Amino acid sequence: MGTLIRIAFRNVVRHKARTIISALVMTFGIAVFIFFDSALKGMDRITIDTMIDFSSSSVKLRTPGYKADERAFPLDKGVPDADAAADRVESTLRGSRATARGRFIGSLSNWTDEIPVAVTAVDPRRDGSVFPVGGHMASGSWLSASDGAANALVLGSELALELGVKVGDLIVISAQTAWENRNADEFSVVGIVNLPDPLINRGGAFVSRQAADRLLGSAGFATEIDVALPKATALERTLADAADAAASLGKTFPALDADPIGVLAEGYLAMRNMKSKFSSIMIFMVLLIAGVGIANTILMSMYSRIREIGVLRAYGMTPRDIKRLFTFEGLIIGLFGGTCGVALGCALNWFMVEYGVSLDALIGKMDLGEIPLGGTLHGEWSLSTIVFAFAFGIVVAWISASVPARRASKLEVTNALRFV
Amino acid sequence: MSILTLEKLRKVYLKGDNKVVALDGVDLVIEKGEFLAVVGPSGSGKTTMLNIVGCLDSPTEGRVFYNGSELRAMKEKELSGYRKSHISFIFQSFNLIPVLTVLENVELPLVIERKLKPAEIRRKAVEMIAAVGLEGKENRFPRELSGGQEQRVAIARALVKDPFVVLADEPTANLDSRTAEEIVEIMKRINAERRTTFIFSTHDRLVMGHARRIVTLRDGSIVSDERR
Repeated sequence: MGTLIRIAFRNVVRHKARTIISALVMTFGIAVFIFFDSALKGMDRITIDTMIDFSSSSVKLRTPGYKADERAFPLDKGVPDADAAADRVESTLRGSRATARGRFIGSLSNWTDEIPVAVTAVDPRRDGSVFPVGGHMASGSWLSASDGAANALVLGSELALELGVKVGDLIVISAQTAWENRNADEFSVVGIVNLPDPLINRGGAFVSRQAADRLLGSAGFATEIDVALPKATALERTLADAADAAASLGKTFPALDADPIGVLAEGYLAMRNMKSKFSSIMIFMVLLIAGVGIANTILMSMYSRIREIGVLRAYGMTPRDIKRLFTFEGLIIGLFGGTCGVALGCALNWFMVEYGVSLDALIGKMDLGEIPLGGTLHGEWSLSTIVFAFAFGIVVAWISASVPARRASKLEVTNALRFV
Repeated sequence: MSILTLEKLRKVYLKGDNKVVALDGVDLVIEKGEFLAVVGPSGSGKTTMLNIVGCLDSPTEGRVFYNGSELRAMKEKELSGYRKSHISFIFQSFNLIPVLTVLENVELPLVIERKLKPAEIRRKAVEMIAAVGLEGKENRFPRELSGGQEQRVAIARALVKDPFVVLADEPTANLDSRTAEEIVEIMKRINAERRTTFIFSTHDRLVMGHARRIVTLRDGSIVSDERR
């Protein structure tokens, strides 16, 4: 076996040019695989984190009636006694934070234009512990507990731009009340947020729940309880933790539906699976090309060494030994290409993890629908991806080398010795 | 003592619809330690006979016995095993493995045979390289050697496993006359010292002059068998 490997290795080294060309394709395929997988994982991470941090939270509790009629923003199907429910969530799930939010449709008017938006009513005392919106102020400040008494409003940056308002300006919000009539009131813009979630920047309007109660004629208005869980390092862990928490809260609150982020983001996650399949097909194609390159290299090697095969067979090497010899050559190219691919992929990935890529620069103002993608995209290290990419490259090399290796093993000794 | 017996050996090749008779009823008994030349014009069946004797090809009819064992009864794997242990080859174009050093080339048959330990393989190979006068060139690659030196390595490779028989197909055809003389002298010396049986095909009168037995083939049949 040692001699076979030695002959295989030296032959691979002897034909440097074709070895390097074959290995380069493999290197490229594996490096791209590692890099893209990291970028996709980073994209998933940034998207899910953004949803958790600014809109969905990890687990959302709502009444079944509200969920069924969610798009109509019903005011009469909210969570009863929401503050007590939030307290109970925090006592049920150790390390969790919970807050109540209410959502209603309101028209924002600057006396010239009127824009309908989904206004979010928050509890200024608790909301910041679940949704760190306050850390992303473009100007002004986030709602404070004292703003409850006043009609204070925080707007998304693009919405503020569209309405032509700045901090200190007045906006009229009109909405249908809980009593089926319309009411309107003036709100003072106290802050403008610029979040990684472009949906909120485009249509986010936040008021205190107290102010919402005054506008809507409700008491303790809340349509959902949002729950924040301790951050997990890996996305899959985040999804699993949220699912466990939702199951637990489902038992504590039998009258409410507890939806984890995996359900709340199921549209994105479905698209992510499709995206993952697409990238796998792409990588498979690249590695397939690498495989064809290796097969071609081994075939060339075989044709240039037919008499050598004849000699080895004449001295008693079996067809199996000959097959192994050429398979080893393919594997050595695969190992070389795979190792370089992992090294290059890790180097690219290191840059992606450490420095990241600005999505705003990359995709600009491209409309990605409901996908909250913005900020800096950082890659994620995945040992399983690196191991898989390397192993897959080796398997491709092995399969690619097997075909010409089998052909070499089937050569007639006498014909091989006569070959010129 | 006969080590090799050919009985009514016949080999027919099919070329398209035509049958080509390469050997036509060859009978030959070869004793241990013979230094035998097979001669004849091109197409007379020399290489076919060596291939069959070397277990590289099988006869269409007839029987081959090595030390009383009939080869025909052996399967491909057994033939390969027989070749591995008992038969060696020297080729016209030397056919050394270009990526192996002189030492590794000589070790190769023993490595393939897998009977000896690495240290013993090394010792025998070094001894054989010395026997063909190539001491100090153990770590050279074939491309660094002259044609005569390459053929010496091929002889060392052929003899390192102490085979029953060494088959040489025109071993001096690619060498100048002086080098050819040296190579034949080496083969003769080893034949005398070790009683290794040499069977070689040749057109070279110089080589024929050294043979102690000359078997002449024509159209697949032995037309003369001359002992000296």
